Amino acid sequence: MLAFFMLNNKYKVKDSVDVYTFSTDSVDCTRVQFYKINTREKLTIEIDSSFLNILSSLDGSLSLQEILIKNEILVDITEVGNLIDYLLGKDVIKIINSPTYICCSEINRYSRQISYFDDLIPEQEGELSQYKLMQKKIVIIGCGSVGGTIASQLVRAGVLNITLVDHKHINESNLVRHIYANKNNINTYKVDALSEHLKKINVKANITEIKSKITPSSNLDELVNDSVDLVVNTADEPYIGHISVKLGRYLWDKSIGLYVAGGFDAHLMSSGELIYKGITPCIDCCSNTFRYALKDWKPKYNYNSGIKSSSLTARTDVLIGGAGGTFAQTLYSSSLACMNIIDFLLGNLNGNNKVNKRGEFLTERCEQTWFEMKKQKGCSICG
Amino acid sequence: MVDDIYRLKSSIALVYDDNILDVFLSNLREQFKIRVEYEEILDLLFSFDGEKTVNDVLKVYRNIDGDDLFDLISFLIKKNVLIKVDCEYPESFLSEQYRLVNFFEDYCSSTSDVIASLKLISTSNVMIVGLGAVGTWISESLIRSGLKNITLVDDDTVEFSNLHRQGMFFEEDIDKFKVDVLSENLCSVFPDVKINKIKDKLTSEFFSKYNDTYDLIINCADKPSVDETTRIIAKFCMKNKIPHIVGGGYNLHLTLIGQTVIPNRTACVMCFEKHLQKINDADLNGVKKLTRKNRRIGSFSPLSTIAASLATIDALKIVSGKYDRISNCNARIEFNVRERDIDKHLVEKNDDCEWCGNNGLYK
Ligand SMILES: [Zn+2]
Ligand SMILES: [Zn+2]
Repeated sequence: MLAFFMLNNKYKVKDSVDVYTFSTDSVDCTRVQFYKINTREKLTIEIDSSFLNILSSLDGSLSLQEILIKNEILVDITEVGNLIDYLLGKDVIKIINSPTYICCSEINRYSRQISYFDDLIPEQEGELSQYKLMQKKIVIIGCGSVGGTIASQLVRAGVLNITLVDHKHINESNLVRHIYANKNNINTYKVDALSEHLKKINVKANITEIKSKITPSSNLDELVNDSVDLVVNTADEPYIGHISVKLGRYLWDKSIGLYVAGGFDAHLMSSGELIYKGITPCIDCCSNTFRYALKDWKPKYNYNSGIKSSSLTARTDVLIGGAGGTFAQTLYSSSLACMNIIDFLLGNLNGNNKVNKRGEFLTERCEQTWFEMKKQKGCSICG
Repeated sequence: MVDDIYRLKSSIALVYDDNILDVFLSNLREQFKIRVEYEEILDLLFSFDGEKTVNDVLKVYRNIDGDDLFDLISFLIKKNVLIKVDCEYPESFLSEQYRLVNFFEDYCSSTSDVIASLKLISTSNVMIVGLGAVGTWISESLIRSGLKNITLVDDDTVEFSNLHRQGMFFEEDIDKFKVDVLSENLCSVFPDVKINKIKDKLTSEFFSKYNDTYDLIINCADKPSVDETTRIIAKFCMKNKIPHIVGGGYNLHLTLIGQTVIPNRTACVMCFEKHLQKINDADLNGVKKLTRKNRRIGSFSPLSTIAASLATIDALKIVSGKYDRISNCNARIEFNVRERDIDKHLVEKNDDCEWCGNNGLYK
C-alpha cells in the first residue's frame, strides 16, 4: 500500500549496496541484483523496466513524489509503494530524515565515517552513531606512543571529551613513535603536548590534563567520575598488571568500560582487550587466563647484555637488543584498539566476534592471531 | 670466528628443558625449538654479552666442542637470536633511535649491518603518490623511522571532511595545499628532512616530467581510479626496476593491504591483474552496474591506518635492503573488519606474464 506519507519521504539506496541489472527475455522486465558488500548477501528481484529510473534516483536528494514527477514516470503507484516497502524490509534502502542530531558542518566533516556507521550498525542512522560518539567521555591513562595515537585517532573520529593522565616529559627518543612529539615540544609535559595536538585537530575537543602517576594507592574517585564511559589504560606491564587489576575491579562495579591497550614490549602490534560487566570476563579472570596459559613457560632473558649507561644522556630506559618498535607498529596497535573502542562506545558489541579476545599481529607471516580470555570456574564476579 | 664478539639480545626469551631449547623472539613473536644436548647451554648463551669473544667463552665452557659451538652460533645468527658485535652504535642512535636500532636488530646479522640499514633509510628517496587516508600516515611513519628524503605528490587542498581520517592535517590547514601542510608538519618533527613537493596530477605524462631516481614508490592515489594510477606507477617502476607498493586502502567492505612488488623477483601488477580478472570474469558475465548519483562511500580511519601500517613496515624493509623479509608480496591481502582477520589469497609470479614473464616487456 502506498500511504500518503511515503510520497513525501526521501529514500536512498544504501551506500554499501551495489546494484547490478541484467536484461531478461522480456524488454519490459529487468532483473536487478542488490549486493551488500559488507555481508556479501545478494538479493535478486525482477521488476518492471520503467522502475529502473526510480531506483537510480533513490539517492536521498528528492522525495519519491519529486522523483516520479521529474522523471515523468507513469507507473502504478501502489506497485511503487510495494517495491519501496519490500526494499526497506530487506535493508537495501533507507529513509532519509532531515538531520536533527548534529549540525551540517559536522555532517560534512564526518560524512564518510557516517556512511561507514550506517553499515556498521544497520538498525541505527549513521548520524545518530556520530552524535553518540561525540557525547562520550573517556579517560586515557598513559600518554606514550600508543596512548597518544589512540587519543589522536579517537579525536579525529569525533570523541571530544578526554582526560589525559601522565606524569612524564617528552624526550628526544619519543620522536620515533609519539604522534604528538616534535622538535618544538621536547621537554614539555606529555599531557600538555598531546592536549595541544588534539585541540589542533578539533578546537571543540574538551581535554583535561592530569600530571600524575597512577599507583596502587591512587584514589580512583578523583580520576573517574560516574559520567565516564571508558577508561583506557596504556601504562602497564605486560599481560595484565596490578594497575589494570585495580582499575578493572573499580570500574566493573560502576559498569564503566576498561580498555587495556597493547603496543609494548612483546606486544608491539597487539590490540589490547576490553573489560566490561555483562560482556567480557572480569579483570581477575582475564589476568588468570594469562597466568594459566603461561604457567609452564618460565623463560630466562639475557641480563648480561644491552643495558647502556650513556654518559651524555644518563638515560636508564635504553636497552639495546630489547624492545623495538616503530610508529607503524604503534599505529597498527592503536588502529585495532580504536575499532574496538568505537564499537564499545556505540554499543556495537555484537559487531565483531573478537570482543573477548586479544589480538597479536605476526609481522613476518602477515597473520592476525587472537587469544581468548576465559571466565574462570567458580568466579564470584563474572561466573 | 674465535675472535668474534656476539650478543644474545635481551629481547630473546629462552627455556631449556629435557634437551630442548625453546626460543621466543619477543619483538617478532616468532618461536622455534631445537635439540641441544648440553646442560649449561643457557649460561653459555648468556655469556654472549657483546664484550666477550668466542674464545673467551670457549675457555669457560671447556667441555663443548668448538665446531659444535660455531655451528650453533651460525644457526642462531641466521635466526636473529644472536647478533655479531663488530662495531659500536653511535651515541645519537642510543639516545634518539634505540627503538629503531632494536627493530633492525631483528633483521640484521651484525651491528654494522644495523648501522648500514639505518644509513640506507636516511639516504633513500621514497615517492608517495596521493596524500589521503593512507598516504599521509605512511609519510609520517616513514619520516619518524628515519627517512630523510621524501617526494610528496598531490594536487589537492585540505578539506574539512579530510580531518577525520587523514594524518597530520589540522583545522588550521583547511584550504592549503596538502603537500605544503604535510611538508611543514614533517619538518617540525625532524627539521633536516628534505622534501620534494609535486603539486600535479598523476597522468600518463607524469614521469616524463618528474623522472628522478627513486628507491621506492608508493601509490596511495585513487583518482581517477586506483587501477589507473597503479598502472602508470607500475609501468614506470617496472621499466626502471624500482620497488613499488600499490593499491592499499579501504574499499567499502574490506581493507586491502597494498601489494609490494620487487620487479622481476615477485609477482608484478600485471600478474595480479590477470589473476584477478579470471576470478571476476566468472562472476560478472554480462552484468551492468546501475548508474547512481550522490553515492557517498563510507570510510573509517582505523581501517586505512591498518593498511598504512603494513605498507610502511614493508617499505622500511625495502629501503634497508632486506628484500627477503618482505611480507606483502605474491598475495592479495585483505583485512576483514567483522572478523578482525587477515585473508591472504596467493598470487604467484607468472612465467607467461606480459610484463615480467620470460618473454615479458620489462624482463
Ligand atoms: Zn571473573
Ligand atoms: Zn608479472
